Amino acid sequence: MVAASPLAELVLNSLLLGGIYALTSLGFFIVFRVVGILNLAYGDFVMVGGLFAYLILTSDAIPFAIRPVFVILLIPLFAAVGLAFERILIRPLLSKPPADALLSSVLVTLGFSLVLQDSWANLFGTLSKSVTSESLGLPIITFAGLTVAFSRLLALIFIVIASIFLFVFVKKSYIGKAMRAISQDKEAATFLGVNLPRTSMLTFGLGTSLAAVGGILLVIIQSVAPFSGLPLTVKALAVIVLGGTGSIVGPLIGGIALGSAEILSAFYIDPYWSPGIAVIILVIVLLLRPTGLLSR
Amino acid sequence: MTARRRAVTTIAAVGLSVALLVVGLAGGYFAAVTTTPPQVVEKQVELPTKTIKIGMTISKSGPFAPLDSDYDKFNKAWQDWINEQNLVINNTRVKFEVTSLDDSSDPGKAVQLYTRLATQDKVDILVSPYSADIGLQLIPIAEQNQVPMIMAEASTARMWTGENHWISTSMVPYWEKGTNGWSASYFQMLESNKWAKTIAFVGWDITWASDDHKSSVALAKQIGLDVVYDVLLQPNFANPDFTAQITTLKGLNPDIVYLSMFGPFSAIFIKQANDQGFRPKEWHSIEWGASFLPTLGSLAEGATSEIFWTPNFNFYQTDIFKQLLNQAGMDWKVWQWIELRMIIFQMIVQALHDSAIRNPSDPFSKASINDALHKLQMMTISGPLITQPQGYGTVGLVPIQIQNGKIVTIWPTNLADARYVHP
Repeated sequence: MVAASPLAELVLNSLLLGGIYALTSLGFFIVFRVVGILNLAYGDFVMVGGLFAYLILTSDAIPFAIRPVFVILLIPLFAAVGLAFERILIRPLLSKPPADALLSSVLVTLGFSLVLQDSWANLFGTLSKSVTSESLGLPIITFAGLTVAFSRLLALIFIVIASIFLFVFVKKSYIGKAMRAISQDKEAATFLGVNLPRTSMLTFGLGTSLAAVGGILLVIIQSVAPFSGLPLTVKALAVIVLGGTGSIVGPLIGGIALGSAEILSAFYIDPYWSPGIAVIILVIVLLLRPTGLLSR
Repeated sequence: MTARRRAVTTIAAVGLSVALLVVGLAGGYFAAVTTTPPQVVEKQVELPTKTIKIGMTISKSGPFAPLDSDYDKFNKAWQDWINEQNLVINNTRVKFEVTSLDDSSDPGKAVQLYTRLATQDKVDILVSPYSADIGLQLIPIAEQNQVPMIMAEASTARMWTGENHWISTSMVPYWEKGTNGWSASYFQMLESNKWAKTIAFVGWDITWASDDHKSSVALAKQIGLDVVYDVLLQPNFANPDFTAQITTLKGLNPDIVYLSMFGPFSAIFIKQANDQGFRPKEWHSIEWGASFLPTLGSLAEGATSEIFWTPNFNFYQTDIFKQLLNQAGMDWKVWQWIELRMIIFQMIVQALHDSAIRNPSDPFSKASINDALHKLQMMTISGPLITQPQGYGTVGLVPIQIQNGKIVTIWPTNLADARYVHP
């Protein structure tokens, strides 16, 4: 068997890592665009989603065959949590002027982030959690000389499907159109009959369900720990800045660009400087295109 | 008449004896059942009590939390146990009070808390937190306030230059590139077995890990291994991705991949390598601990590492250590360096005894305790400890291997409880 070139392997893994960055950033992005707040607890929702997925996938109390079903059920469950989160903690802030609402949301969501971190650490311990292909019963496969875990391929396929679904949902569905309308001009959208509170709540639900998806993928591909939430939020913010806030494609491009930059620079330039190189790319993009790669 | 008188006298004597016996028995009986026993006047020796305050921080949150967040449970178990022992040193009853504060893995917070422990709480002895990077920043506090500080899982060459007089540790100077090196025993074993030809090193550029890394690269070359890859990475505690390094390693295909990073991240490295279809003949991680085994499951099989103690060590207070772990609800396989905490407590008790001999007029002064800590010659759970004038010790590590899901000691032969399994 002829081994695939390192480049093919690097590209595959860049797409995977970038795809996870993109998907986790999308939830953060739509909430920011539509509701107008920075949800700093977003990474913690990703973290909690991943840790719940870990509990399910490693639980002896749940039959092996139906564990994936329970994991998928986390997505609507998190959507419901997102709805409640918006209704209880965010809605009261939205009556303030936009600048005040933004500042208040930072404080409220940061506080909630700390509550989530410490609660999880106290309830389930501080150890990072991760599941292996073996524990999922999934093989390592080889095709065209490329060896990769089947779980990674599934994750990649899932990322593509979820991205397409989201794109179509935002473009075609009434809620998606309402979300876009609000993100473009809140007052005009309200004037045209868009129900602002309802759309805001549904956006939170959708964003939080995407956080669950990101968490599930992370615990399968990498690992999740109780204190990895805030760094994930920062990463999502970087992806959005890189891709631009103009459209939903921005975070997709930003995520893949950041993931690829990290992996390819580590391989071809110097792994030590890889995190720095990613930041340098971010700065260069901001200098050349202050509104992001895809912004007009 | 004489005979009669003699008979009367005899009868009277017998009667009197019987009467006295009856009265005596009855009196004794009643005394026993109805009166309080006579007060035993025992002279109670009123010993003065000295409470030795031990202060430290642990990380209940943040990146170091998986490695030491439960140490406060062990501290409590030891404190309860030692205080039940009614320790008397130099005619003084000695009690211990261990304070554990949460530094949230934040060096800045740790500096604040150690300053508080030294200046406000007036502890007698400080114990450093995990790990060397934070420990380095705390040494000035110990030096400035002249409080003895025992470095726990924290040691690096810069600490032991001779300029710091208030710090000590049980551990060997493991950054050295000789027999004291972190993995010296492991490389002796490899040299003895001679199966491996090539080795690759991947580490994190943080004090402790890079010390081990550099020392081990030198040791590998000394025993004739071909070092095919040697890279230090910036630590990433959030979501490390090792794709680039694994892709390189696949091309090089070394016999051994030596990982010098925190155990949980070594586990993530091995997991990601497996997902990319890379499995060297042997993984070696300088630490396992925490989530290594739960994360990897069967992937950990055959991996090697090092430790200061395993349950088959039978030097001093092994049973007590096991009992304390039990009470604390801690598993030594998860909390890998907890043995260093037990050694620290053993050092403290021994130092107090030694201090009382050397300086009976003021055995509990910080200076006297510090002096004793620098001249220890004692047995610990991990074997003999002789602290050197610079402050570091002689307790070294032994290689272990994961075999059938269990951790076994594989070298040196006098401590091994299993054979080293290799290709």
